[in-house]
Amino acid sequence: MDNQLAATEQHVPPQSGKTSSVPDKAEGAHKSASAERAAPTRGKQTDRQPPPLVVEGRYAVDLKRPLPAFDRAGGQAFAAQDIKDASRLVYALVQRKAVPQRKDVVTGLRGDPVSNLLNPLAQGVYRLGTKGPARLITIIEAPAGPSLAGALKGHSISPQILRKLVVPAAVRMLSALHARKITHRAIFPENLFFANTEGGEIVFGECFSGPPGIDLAACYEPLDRAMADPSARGPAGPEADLFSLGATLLACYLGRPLGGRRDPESLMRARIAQGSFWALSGGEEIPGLLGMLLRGLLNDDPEERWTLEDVEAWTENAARPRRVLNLSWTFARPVTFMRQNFSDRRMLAQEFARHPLEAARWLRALDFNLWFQTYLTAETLTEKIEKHLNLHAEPDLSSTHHGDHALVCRFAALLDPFGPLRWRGRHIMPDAIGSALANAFAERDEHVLDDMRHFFDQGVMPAAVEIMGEHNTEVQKLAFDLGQLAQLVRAKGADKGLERALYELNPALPCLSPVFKGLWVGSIKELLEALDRLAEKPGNLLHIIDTHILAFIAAREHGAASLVAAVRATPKDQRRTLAALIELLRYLQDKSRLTKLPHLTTRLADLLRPELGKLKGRKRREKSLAMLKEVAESGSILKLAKIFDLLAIARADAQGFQQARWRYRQLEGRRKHFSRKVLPSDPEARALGYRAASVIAVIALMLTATVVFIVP
Amino acid sequence: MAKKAAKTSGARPTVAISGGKAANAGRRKTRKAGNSKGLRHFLLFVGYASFGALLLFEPTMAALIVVGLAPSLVALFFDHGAFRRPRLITLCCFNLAGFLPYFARLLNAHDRVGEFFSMITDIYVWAVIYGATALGAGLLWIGPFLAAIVLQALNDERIKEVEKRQLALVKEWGAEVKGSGAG
Repeated sequence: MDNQLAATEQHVPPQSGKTSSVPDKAEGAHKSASAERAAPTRGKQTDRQPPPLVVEGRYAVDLKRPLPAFDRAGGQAFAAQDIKDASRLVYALVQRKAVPQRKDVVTGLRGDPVSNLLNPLAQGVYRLGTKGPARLITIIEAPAGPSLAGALKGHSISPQILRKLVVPAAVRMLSALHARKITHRAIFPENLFFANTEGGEIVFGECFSGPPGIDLAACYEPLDRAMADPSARGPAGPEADLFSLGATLLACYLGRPLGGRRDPESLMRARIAQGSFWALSGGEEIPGLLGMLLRGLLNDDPEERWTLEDVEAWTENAARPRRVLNLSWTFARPVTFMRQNFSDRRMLAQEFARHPLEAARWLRALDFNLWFQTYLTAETLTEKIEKHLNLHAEPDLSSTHHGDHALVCRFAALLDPFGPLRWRGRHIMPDAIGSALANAFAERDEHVLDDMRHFFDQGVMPAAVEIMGEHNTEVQKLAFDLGQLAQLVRAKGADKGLERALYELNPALPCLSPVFKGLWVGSIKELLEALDRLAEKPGNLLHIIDTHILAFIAAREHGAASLVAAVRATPKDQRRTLAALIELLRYLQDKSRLTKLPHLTTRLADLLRPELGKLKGRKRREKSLAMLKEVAESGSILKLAKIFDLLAIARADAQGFQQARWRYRQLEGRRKHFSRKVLPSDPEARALGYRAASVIAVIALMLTATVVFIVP
Repeated sequence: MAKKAAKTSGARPTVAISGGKAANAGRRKTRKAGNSKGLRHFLLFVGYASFGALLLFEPTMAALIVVGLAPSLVALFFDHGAFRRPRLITLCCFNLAGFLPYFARLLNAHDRVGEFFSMITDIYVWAVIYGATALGAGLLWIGPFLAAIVLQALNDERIKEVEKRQLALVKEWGAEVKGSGAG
């Protein structure tokens, strides 16, 4: 987005004055992803008007009145009204799905608003119209006056006004924000507003709808972050806000775009060569106190840049003048690459990123140790750097040239340790990998995602971060976490991978699964409700739950990570997969305390039915199927999982079947034994016959003895 | 041998313990067999001594016993086939049944010698004694035939019972329970 000062901006003040006729029982105002229930209507609406959209029962949003002055990369602005307090001016920002919000900033500002800043007031997920998609809508304070850029219309602001209005407002706002460890990262002239129509107080626009720095043109970013992609600039520190403030003040003073008529590329080169102050001011001299302020704020060395204390002192005429230093980014002698001479390391790094294959060839042809000693005399080549650089003389013959790109990324990190990571045309600050990933997923291109996967290979981001960490202490602090992140991306398993990293790094990002098109799924509860609604339609539930959904669950609910992994652990074993899925959904339903998920339970029961039908034991099978019907109607996956432990049932059934088989075989043996003809010579017949004969003989003897000895 | 070797070396004799409980059971069985063999020998000795005493003091009775119980004695000493015990019991009991009346007559007679000679010359005495024995032998011959017929009839009933239980298994578990092969 081009944030140059322009006279063509139209500012449409937010609606004020009359209250709307929106009733208290706001129809269609829902807070969850299951917000599809149309506004309860009493009878048919003959005029077919979409129901009004009311956020948190208080702020009516008019989707027919866009406010382009408040549009940002993170969302589109529309007019809104506070039903309970018409004098309070607000507007609504409809969040773009694939752009992660700065959730921590929203939470912080809602709980404790900051002065001289447009704070968020309310937030919720709502459908845009009866059949429109569900989106996150944020209600934000609106200024009564126009934006600074709009009001100026190409004219410059006097230093007195800047000193009396703009700078104090900025100091107040930034002091409060920085005290909470929040950076604004969206300070530019179009994002400054007059608090009222007569001018007066200055307020700064919202700073949370997108990743830090996404709305800034490169000229408002400090040099190290200006080379990064807009979506990958990172939160940075207070010094970045102060640079943006300086650039904004300069733009307001000059009344024209920064850098004159230069294109961004040549402006960057000029900034590197001459320093940001001179390049952005176009060589124009700015005398007096304002010049001192701007030189201090636009200092390219973050250590030397003015702090808020310095600015406060300046407002009290007690500023301490500082030297403007140029860092030693220059080579000991110019380096020739592609017939151009480069004396600045950062420019060479940029050029390498622009021509990576040529750069790789050039690097492999180097006698690196000698080159390092000759051109980077201010540094020492340590073993660690050499190991991580891993410069091989053999060329990379693969079709993807992955090795070449990786080499260029590592080398660029060596040349510019405070700049972005340069990888296949992307420029990513080490603390902005999350937003860069979100941007990559938004492109919906498998090649882009594949590139991002390779970004986490051992020889790319982890190695480059180690190299940067030798000079950049901020990156050094991140090295361990980034290493863990890389391992997470490279690991196999449904609970790991690139998608998992995406949701771990962007806690405010909703689930981007294509299955949830038109829905906003920002939490586990919303996910379950959305799945329940999707389960109403026919379709295989196992296919609906894709990698995005599983990664989202694993990231938002760490306790479920092992259950998520189990779902995809045995893809060929339908039974195990189903059992794992039921267990996962049971866990989630329990955690989110949702009492009923009727359609999801029914769909799971439908998947269970054929598995139970495969049971060999008739009694067990019939009993299970009868109970299944009853449990499916309960809508409780907890109950379903408790009663139908599929693996245990299958195991018991298999054991029972084996026993039955053995028993049958045993009976068959006995049947065959009984079937054969019994001969007198058979041992059984002989035994029985002889025993019978012996019994008769004993009886005969006893009778005889009785007759012989007793009877007479 | 271990004991001998231990003795010569002066050490206490040790018994090699091998096989644990199974060895103990084997030893007990051997001891039991040894005990019953000893008992049999003892009984034989008692019988022999008794017969010897009878021969000395009542030679006619001893002679009658030898003559009258000859089939039993033959069976006792020479029949070592399967089912020996019931066969022996049958033959001996029938033999005794035929012998007892005449033994009682001799016991009650005043002139035992005369009575003895009178009996051994009486063909009916022989017929009764040996006829009873023959009856016993005949019963032993016909017994297995009759038993085979009875068992055949019983097996038919058993087959019905077994098939009923098999049918119940098939009804419960399906035709696969019939299975084929191992597992």
